[in-house]
Amino acid sequence: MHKNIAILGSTGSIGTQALEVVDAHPDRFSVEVLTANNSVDLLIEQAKKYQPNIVVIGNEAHYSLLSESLKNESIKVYAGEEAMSQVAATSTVDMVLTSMVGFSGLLPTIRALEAGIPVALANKETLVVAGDLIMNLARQKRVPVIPVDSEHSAIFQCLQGEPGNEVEKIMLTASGGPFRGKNVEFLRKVTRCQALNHPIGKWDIKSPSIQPL
Amino acid sequence: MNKGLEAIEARWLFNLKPEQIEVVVHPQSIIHSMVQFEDGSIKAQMGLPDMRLPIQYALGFPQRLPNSFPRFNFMDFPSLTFEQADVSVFRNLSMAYEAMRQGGNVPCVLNAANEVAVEAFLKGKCGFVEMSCIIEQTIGKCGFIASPTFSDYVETDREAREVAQSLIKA
Repeated sequence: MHKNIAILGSTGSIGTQALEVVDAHPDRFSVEVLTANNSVDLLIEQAKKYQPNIVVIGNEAHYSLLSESLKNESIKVYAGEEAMSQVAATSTVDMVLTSMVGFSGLLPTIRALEAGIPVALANKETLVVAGDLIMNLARQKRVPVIPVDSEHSAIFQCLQGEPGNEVEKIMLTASGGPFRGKNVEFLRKVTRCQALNHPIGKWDIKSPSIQPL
Repeated sequence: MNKGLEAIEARWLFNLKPEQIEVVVHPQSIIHSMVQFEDGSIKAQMGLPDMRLPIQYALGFPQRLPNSFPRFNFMDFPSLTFEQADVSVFRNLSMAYEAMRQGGNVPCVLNAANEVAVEAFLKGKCGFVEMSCIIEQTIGKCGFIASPTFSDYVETDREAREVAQSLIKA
């Protein structure tokens, strides 16, 4: 089945890797919506390459540059937080990937679920902050919420083919970070540079997940 | 803290009780997580740590799509090891579980305070261990709401950030 995808937060780490997945499967996926908060230059580049129907920039200060740069393309251009959540409910979208960072990921997820659009969830805040609201809404609307995070995707995959079978427990694996096996005394002296030197893939300095475990 | 936040997400995604969620340290990051069923059988999902795999799985679900991403070779990882997560050293993990048990708007406070504390640490305004103190004190100072609405969460997020900021300045 061919899917029209909305990538919310397309200029971040997950968003750009999602576009690599689209590149690998041009017959399977089309990009319908791209959004970014501030990275207007990369958003313009992505819009020209993937020709979505709609692009949204969160920071309204970048609107004129974005619309000017895309004036020769047949792409609708919007700006602001309200537009950001409205596009999640675009009727031509088959799946919304919520790969934006921060609390602002909540409302677009709610809008997509209300519109009955399946959500590929990569925004941490959505479930940490309001997991009860979100999952109740998804159940009520019978819309799938599919986790993107590698640990939750692993559990989701393990649960396939097990309808009605009770889970005793799940085990989330952790790399342990750069301070695995260290004591509290060591941690008191930890610096920013040490904290960012992660053994498996360097931590993104903008990511809030710099602590081990 | 990251693992603690993941545990909270897992609680909601898979409808689990906090005591059904364990964290296991696995330095090679080849097993991405596991499920133990009531017959004691364990299923583990494995692969190279490549975010494109879970992204592709989510976008393609329920279908798995062929790709030419790098493949895992067992001989490159002849030993996969496991260790217990040391919660006495990493207080953040136990704080996250406590927030999960309390429920309501507490995980929202935890998340906001964590972001403020991490930012302060990266800017050199607080030490590594102090991050946990900031988070703990912020949880103590914010009002508890048992069944928050969406606007309660927005307000809690704002309040928690303000409280955490004031603790850093103090």
